Amino acid sequence: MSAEHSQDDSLLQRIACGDRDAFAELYRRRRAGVYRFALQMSGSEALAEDVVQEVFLALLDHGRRYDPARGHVASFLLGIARNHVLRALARRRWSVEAAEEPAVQEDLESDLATAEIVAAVRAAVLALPVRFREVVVLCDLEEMDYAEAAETLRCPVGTVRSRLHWARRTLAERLQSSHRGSLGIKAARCSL
Amino acid sequence: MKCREFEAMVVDLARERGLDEAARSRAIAHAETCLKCAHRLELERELTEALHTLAASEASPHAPPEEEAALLAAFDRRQEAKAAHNHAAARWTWAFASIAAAAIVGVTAIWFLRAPQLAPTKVVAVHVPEPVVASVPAPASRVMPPSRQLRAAAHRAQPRQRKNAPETRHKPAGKFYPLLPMPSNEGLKGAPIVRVEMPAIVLASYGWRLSPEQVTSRVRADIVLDADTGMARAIRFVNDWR
Repeated sequence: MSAEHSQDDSLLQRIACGDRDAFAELYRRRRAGVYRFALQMSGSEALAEDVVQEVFLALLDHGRRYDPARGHVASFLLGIARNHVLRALARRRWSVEAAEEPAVQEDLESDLATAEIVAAVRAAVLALPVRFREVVVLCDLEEMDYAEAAETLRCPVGTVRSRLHWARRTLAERLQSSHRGSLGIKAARCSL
Repeated sequence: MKCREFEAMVVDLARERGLDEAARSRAIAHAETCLKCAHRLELERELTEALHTLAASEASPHAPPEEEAALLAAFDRRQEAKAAHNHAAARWTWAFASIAAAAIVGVTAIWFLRAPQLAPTKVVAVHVPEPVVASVPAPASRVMPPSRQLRAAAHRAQPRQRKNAPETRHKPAGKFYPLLPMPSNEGLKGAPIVRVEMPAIVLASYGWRLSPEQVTSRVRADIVLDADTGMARAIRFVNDWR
């Protein structure tokens, strides 16, 4: 177990004993990952903030359900976040089509190409079916390995690989079709 | 390497994860000879770069300051609720423990008040008459004679007395039966005789067979003790025992 994961385990045990500082520390360590996952799955900052609240409240109420044999604390938290996101998407309160525009960068000229790429890829990811979207978010955006993603999604590693393969092929085809031959990344960079 | 095999590896190759060096080299070599797979790999690499760009744009989301404060406040509320619950639970635990202890004490007291079936043997009297010991061995069956037979034997052995006369109530009922093999009556002259009242089950240790009713009864008898060793040598049942 890496030092990072063992530290998370230690914090969780201290939280179970009523250690307020341990709870604050774990929140600061894992908040960004939970927020990013929820944002990348839904495209909504408001939903992502709601999910962060729900995840850490759930940690207070159900932290004892964490089983180190089944995965790391980060996977445990993302698993809770995934459940909340899927429920929200199922209720269609946070429609992917109503995705908010990303925050405008200060340096518009130099980041215009980047912003175009980001917007295009984000839209393509959000257009994926949920079960394929989540493997792209975990493996490519959060850079988890297959085993960690499988722990979070509670599915076999082979399922993660096959879904990621299909999802990336679909993303490539969609981005390619909108830029006639390439994904548009090289074209965007050349325009600068 | 065939194109199908390359297709299965292209994602890991583009992500540069999950492939050992040998597999990576074979895949690269195939892409250098197959235009279709080379184009496929180029697309996957571009997609990987695009996804990294997307991830980098969302790498450091700023948390609203009130978010952490709200979560810590929720933490404090839950700790207070847990402490209150534990206090109430402890009070109930003490109450149940007290009731259980009182019940155990009560049941134990009731059990002790109900006297056990077998009281210890008690010595009723000690005297040293001249014993009359049977010169024949104990009956082969070593079955304890029923009380009415003892009474009949005592009646034949003793002069007729009026019923309920006090002096008849505890008269011995007949002869002495050996408890241990006795080659002769030597050593029994002047041997102490102890009148005892004891659980009939004691006789079972001397080989006496008892009926189920006799097992739980008590016996009043005269015991001849060996003058040297103090061991019980013979027994004579006293009538009117129960």
